Amino acid sequence: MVVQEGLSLERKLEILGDAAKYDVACTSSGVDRSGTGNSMGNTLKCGICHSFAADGRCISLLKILMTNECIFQCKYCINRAKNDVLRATFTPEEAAGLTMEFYRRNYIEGLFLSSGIYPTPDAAAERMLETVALLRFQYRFAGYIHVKAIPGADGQITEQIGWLADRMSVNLELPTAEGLRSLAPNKSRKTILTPMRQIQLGIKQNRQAAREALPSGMPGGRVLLPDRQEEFLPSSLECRPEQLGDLAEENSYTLGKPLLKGVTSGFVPAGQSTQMIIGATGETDYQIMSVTESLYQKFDLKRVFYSAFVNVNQDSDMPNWIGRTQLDREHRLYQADFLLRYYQFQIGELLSEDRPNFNMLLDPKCDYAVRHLELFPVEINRADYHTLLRVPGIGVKSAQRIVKARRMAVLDFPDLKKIGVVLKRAVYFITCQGKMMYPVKLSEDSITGYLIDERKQKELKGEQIGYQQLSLFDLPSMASGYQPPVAGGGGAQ
Amino acid sequence: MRDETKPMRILLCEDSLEGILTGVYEAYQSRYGHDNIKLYLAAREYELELFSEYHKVRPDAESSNKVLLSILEKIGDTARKNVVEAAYSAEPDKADVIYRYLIRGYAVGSRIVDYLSDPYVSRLFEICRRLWNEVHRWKEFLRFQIQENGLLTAVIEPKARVLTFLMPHFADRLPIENFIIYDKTHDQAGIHRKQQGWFLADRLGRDYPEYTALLETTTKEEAQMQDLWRIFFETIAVRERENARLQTQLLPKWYRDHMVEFHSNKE
Ligand code: SF4
Repeated sequence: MVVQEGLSLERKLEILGDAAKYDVACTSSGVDRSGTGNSMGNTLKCGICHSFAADGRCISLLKILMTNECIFQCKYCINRAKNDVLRATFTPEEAAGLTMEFYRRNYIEGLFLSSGIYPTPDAAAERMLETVALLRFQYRFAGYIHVKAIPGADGQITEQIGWLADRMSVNLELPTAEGLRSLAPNKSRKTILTPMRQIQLGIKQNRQAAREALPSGMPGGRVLLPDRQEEFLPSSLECRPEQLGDLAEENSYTLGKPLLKGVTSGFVPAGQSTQMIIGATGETDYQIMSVTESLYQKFDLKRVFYSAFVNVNQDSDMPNWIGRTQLDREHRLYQADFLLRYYQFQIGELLSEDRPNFNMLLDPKCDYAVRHLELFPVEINRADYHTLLRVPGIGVKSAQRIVKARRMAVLDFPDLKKIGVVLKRAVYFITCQGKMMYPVKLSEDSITGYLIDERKQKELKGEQIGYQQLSLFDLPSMASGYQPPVAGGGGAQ
Repeated sequence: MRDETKPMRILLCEDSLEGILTGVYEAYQSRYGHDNIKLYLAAREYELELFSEYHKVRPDAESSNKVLLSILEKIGDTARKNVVEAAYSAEPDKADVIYRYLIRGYAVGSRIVDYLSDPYVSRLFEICRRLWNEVHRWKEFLRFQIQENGLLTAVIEPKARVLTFLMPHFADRLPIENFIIYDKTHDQAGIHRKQQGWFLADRLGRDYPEYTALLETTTKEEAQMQDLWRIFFETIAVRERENARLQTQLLPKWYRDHMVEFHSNKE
């Protein structure tokens, strides 16, 4: 291990920014908090991107590790204990100071803080708590803070961080327990799911308390968690979603009080997210998305991020980076994820045991429509909102607009264009006043021919493509909507 | 209906809320027939049209206020907001769009906001959307520098008059700072005083050119901080996934003039 004393702030920022960059989550969304008049900062529900890096990813938060020293040996991580890399550690003052200076200049929305595990999980978590406390109390910082929970750290520390952060996340790392065992031997489903459950329950109780207008927090104390969390997520490759039964009795954890009254608005008010590495182990898309679905349903997660595996350590027994194919897969997962969150789809409608992987030629929504031609075409002037949402080329916003506009006038194809419907895709699936735009014979093959991803077509012509432009979906905002994915493979928690 | 016996009357309005609404007021007062009148921006370049007569509209606060009040009464607050926003936009056709939107609005009342298939209603919304997009972009991409005395200064070159919408955002965010955002395009400054609110000042550059130059000075400490930001900006990109086209699509080049990460202090 290379430890270097007396690194300059510039050098530290370089090392610890570099080490954090593989973490996908960068959003600053999920919570609206106006300024208080005497503190520094506010947050916007939609989030704000302050810049876009050379890879086209949004830069919203100062994303850094507290330290890249680590006692763990996760196979996919550049910072694992035995690697020979330059190590650096921020002091809480340095990390908090940088955040403030960048924030005042409108470079960032706030801080994204992760850490290697060093010297112990508790010590790592405490240093992060110290940083966040400095920001909230000393600097009266009211901007956005996202903190990674450290697996295996004392629940009390996690809880205090939760009182000061806007969002927390615990990385699931691998979709299955088996994958985790083989690639992250020092982590377990239990050490990952325990804080995830704790945060979920904490958020719930805090909201309830707020609703009942009790003083924030509940009579606090010990962190009590069920010790058989593993059962709640599929533990082997034979993933059966129905196993993800109902976990956690409501009283398995009682949220304690914040030690000090801060400027935040409750316990993890922007909710929690997680991240999975895709393609390092052999899961199918169906297995991955089933895990996702249960994370949304059983753990109330706000976001699940996917990151295509990059073999940063060049391990010969690990799959190599195969670029495009992996990015394409990751892209499909994000699209499907979007359908789960905003389009009322269930994964069982998109994939099954017999068709366990996404169609690489069609996006999941088109694919669904093409395989369910019996449901189409639908009449724009009559179909209910839910049905409209299922039409390729119609997003959440355009569906809402259609419902509104048709109350005032009978809609025809040119109107749909104005409303923002992507006619190119929608025409095969809709009628206006009983008529289709072109006489197209509805058959799975012919429609597929028309719909093949623009990206695929362009790829064939050798063009470089922006991810954003081929997203089918209305994006609520750049910061909170679909993000161009990033390669995984490093980072900390 | 267009009355072909009358020449088309074109009202040339000043590019301001007051100017445009005064135009609307005069159009109504004239009883010349809506189909025989068009509203243009006076500053806009246009080809002289045959068989048209051109009238210059002198902005008048009283007429403009009357229109605002009547919108509020007869069409509603949402429509009023939309009209104001459209007037601050940078779209060349905004005056006539506002006029036609109001004609329809007066006919149907508050339901006008749902008439999305009407070309003028949808165009007005499009104009508002563009304005808010630009406002949002400046919330993202505006950069402050900190001057020796602690004053935060930013220079922007927006297409639309965004300051009106930007200032509340930054005032809420940075209540304990003194800051100035200078809109170079429209020579307008938004000035915020620590815990005392903000105001807009016009013609700062014309009247005090030395001062606007000062807003762009970079102190030594500031340069160091900017270097740190550049380091972070360079580091955060994943090289395997470089995608300049996507970057440009999300962060168009014309926003980059005043963004520190796209310029080095050493040049
Ligand atoms: S992923 Fe986290 S715990 Fe694992 S080696 Fe990397 S820094 Fe350590």
